[in-house]
Amino acid sequence: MSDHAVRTVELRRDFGTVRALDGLSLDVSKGTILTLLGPNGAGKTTLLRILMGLIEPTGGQAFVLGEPARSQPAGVAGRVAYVGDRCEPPTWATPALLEGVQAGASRSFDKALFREFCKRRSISPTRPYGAMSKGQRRWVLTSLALASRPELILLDEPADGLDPAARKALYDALRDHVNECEATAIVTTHIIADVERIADEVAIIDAGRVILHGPLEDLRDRVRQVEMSGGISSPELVDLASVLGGTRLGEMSILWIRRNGVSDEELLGRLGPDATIRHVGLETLYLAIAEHRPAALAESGKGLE
Amino acid sequence: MYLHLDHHSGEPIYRQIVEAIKYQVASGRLAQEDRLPSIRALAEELKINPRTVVKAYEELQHAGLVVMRHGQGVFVSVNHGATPQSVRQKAIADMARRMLAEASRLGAPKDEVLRIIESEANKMEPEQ
Repeated sequence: MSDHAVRTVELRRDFGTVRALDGLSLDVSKGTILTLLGPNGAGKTTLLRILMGLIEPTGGQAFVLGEPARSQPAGVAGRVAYVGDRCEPPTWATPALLEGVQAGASRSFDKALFREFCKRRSISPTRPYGAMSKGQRRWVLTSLALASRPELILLDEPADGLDPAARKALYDALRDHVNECEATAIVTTHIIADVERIADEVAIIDAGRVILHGPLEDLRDRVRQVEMSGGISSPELVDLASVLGGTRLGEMSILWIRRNGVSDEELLGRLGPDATIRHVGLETLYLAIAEHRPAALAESGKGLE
Repeated sequence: MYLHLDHHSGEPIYRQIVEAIKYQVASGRLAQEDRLPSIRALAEELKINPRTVVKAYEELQHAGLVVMRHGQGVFVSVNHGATPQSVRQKAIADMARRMLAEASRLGAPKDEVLRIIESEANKMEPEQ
């Protein structure tokens, strides 16, 4: 059996003349939480909808739990859950009713767990969906998905409309589910602090392609911000690190790099004593990549020197 | 076991766990032969991936600070290289190295740093 819960190869999807996915290749290991980061329109939702079999790719391949996503056998479909904007129940549906429907649809559905989730946010089983706040709706839908104990859970902006305490509760429940069931989760969000709290792996996508993908611990371990007055020439670093982005602030050159098996001390030795090397949080890294990628710099005519 | 994690510092979580446990050994809060939480229990408590805990425990074992006994759990090692005193000295040496590196970037020579440490230590004494 493959160790990947999800695998996409050169996935393409066009909507008319708009290319939403442009050769997106991504492997997601079992038992991990992958967060997808990227600007609006990067292709995150399109990817999730293809994985769920809701839409078909224009080209390339997508596999979910070892089966092609576009023709998921019923057995696989029941092991995957999706919560997104466009799959809402009717306004008159109550948690009690949703519970009954879900129990009929999914053998592994855990009613007691679902009730416990609703109780945690004081949502009455008889409250109609239409009368709930945005945050309560998200909570109920995500709870339904988690209580179905899926092997793969796809959550599109699950924290949308949730207050910080509810967000933490939701992500704690997600982590418990992933750890207890060795399940896999793909989560999209724009809240970078949430990514830092929950992600095992991070994939940054832009214009339908993967720009950076790796374990978050590895990014924390290896990505650094280098600051120096004057220029830093990338050839000095070429065998030690790959350059993810760079910019200049007055006299200061700032580079974001990923070390290749060298220590910070060795890097400093190469760059000289007036260089400063810092750890970077994910937000800095994300902005560095989104705004200061070498390709983006080349396009705008600014070098890294 | 209480461990404080900062998910936003850029420091890998496994390393934060390693440092926190080293600190507890250095301060004597964890004694030789004390049993650490199981991988599963610590992952559940900290809401992190069990693989992160495994990585931290492996690093602690590699450093000689803990031993993993198959089927029994993870224990603070009785190895002489890992006495609270030696761990404490190593932790302080790490702090000193960081401070000296920062000070040298400010252009301060070593004796200036030592003088300042001594004078700060003298200032603190009357309060103790």
